[in-house]
Amino acid sequence: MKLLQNSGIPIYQQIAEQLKTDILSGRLKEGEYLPSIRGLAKELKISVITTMKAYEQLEAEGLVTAVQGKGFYVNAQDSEMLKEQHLRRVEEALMEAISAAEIAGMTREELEAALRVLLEMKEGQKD
Amino acid sequence: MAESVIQARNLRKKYGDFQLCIPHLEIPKGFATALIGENGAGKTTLLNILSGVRLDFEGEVFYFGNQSQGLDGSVQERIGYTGTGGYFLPNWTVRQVGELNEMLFSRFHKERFESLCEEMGLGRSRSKSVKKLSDGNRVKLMLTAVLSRDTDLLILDEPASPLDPLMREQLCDRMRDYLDGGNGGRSIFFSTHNIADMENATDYCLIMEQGTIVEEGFVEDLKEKYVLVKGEAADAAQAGDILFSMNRGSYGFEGICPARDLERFAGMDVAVEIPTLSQICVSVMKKSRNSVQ
Amino acid sequence: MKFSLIKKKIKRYLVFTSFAYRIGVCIAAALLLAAGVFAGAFFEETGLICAAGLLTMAEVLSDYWLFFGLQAKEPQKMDFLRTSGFGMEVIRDAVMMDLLRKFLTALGILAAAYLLAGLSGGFLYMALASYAFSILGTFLSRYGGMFLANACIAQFAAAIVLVSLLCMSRTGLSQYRLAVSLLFAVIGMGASALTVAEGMRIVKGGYDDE
Repeated sequence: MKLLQNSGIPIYQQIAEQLKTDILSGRLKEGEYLPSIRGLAKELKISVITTMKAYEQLEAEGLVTAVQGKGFYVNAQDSEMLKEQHLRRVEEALMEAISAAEIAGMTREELEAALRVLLEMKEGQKD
Repeated sequence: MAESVIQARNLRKKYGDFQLCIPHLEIPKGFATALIGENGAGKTTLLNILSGVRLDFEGEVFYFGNQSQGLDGSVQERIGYTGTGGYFLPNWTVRQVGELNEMLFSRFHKERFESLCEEMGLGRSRSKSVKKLSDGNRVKLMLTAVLSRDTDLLILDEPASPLDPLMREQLCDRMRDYLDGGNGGRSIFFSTHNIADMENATDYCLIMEQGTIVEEGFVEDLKEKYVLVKGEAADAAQAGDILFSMNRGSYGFEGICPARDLERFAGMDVAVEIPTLSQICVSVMKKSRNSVQ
Repeated sequence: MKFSLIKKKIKRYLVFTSFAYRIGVCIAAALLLAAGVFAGAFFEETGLICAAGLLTMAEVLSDYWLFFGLQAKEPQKMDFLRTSGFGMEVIRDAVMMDLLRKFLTALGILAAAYLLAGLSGGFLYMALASYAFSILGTFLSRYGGMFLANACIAQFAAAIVLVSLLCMSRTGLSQYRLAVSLLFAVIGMGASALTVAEGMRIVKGGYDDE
């Protein structure tokens, strides 16, 4: 796990994001327990409250469930929700691209063309 | 707040011009709580009262979530306290400190004391007397002694100040290690001036000013409660009214204010950042000192 | 049962003595005994009186490595002892056992020297004088300060013992040994009580504001 101190993104969010990626990609499996909050804090050399907040965020998003005295385990990710989560990520990334394009003064056509070129490049790499 | 390890009501202590007055105090269980404040704010007095080395105060203190459990020998057995000045008799050697601990505390582990002495770099100082140890080594000896016992609460008065940067990092590691070892049952309450060095081992924060608590909260919540605002010099005068405290120069200003006051910057060209704990503490301390004067 | 209680108290005393202190006390006791025997053999009563003076000095000096500064007001408040429920009990036992040790040392060394040198005329009043003034000296030196202060007090205490015992021996006052012994015993007990009370008052004073 890589945590950036000065990225402007709170540490707890960085942790939550990386765990979320692990869960959505299936690296952390259903029913598996996340490391204990104090254990993870020790590993990452950060405060307990920071890891706790990351876990609480994952819980709020429905990715994990807290069990009193035992910790947090990974929920079953139903495919519908999984898809929605992925979709939300795609939308977020595209929104960022759109606002960057606005600043650069790109027209709608130029932006669409750029997306198409990138898609083709990516497909070309796969072959 | 979740469960608390210490609860206190109507704490009062007066001497000379100084008055400690804390109507309500709760230290959360399972976390490291930092006590931050100026010199003379009453930090040591508060820690002395809670650890039982000072008894002349008014008010009630309860321990370990038990509403009827005041301080007695069995509670002190579960608390590890490290102080600042005359903690040991200057004649005692490192070895004697171990022997005294063994005599005074039933849950003291001699082997752990020996190995911690080695780890902390006191291995070759066993026959040295306390008065011949450097300030840093004296703190290490106090920490070694309390960590050699099975405790549920550590109360540490300024543990970081006399330590070098490497030892401070080790102190943070040991604190996190201590909390992890208790599986949520152990807590730490420590005072510090070295907020930046200790931030990554701080969960809850109490800010003290002139004998009372002026702000408290979990660090992550405080970082949402307050924002760091930066702006151009032209807006400095106007922003000064909103900000708790402000540093201004010829190119611009920066300062801290509650996040809810952000809307008052409407019309100004400002950038907003998450403040560090140290920035929050400093401006809360400045703000409360100004409001008293 | 009684024995285990004494054993506990002795243990509490020993924990305050460093290894170096124990060795030092044993060596000093052996040297003083030797000096007492020789001085007693050559100079009889006067020799034994000198040994009592030396003993007094040694006891006050050695306290520098034991409880020196115990009664100092400021920096040494011994927070550590107050972090335990029995800290106060332990230090009180230790201070009291130290007094007992000092009494037994004075008695033992002078008795042994007296017997080995084959003297007559008694030694108890000397042991009591040495004890009484070494405790008074110790009491004063426990207020702390520099080693020099401790050394001055030690010499002064020794001088008092020497002068008072020599005067007694020269003026023939030592005929009234019983009365003199009683006087020294009273001084000794007073000094002991004062030392324990003041030491505990200061150590416990940290619980409150002075």
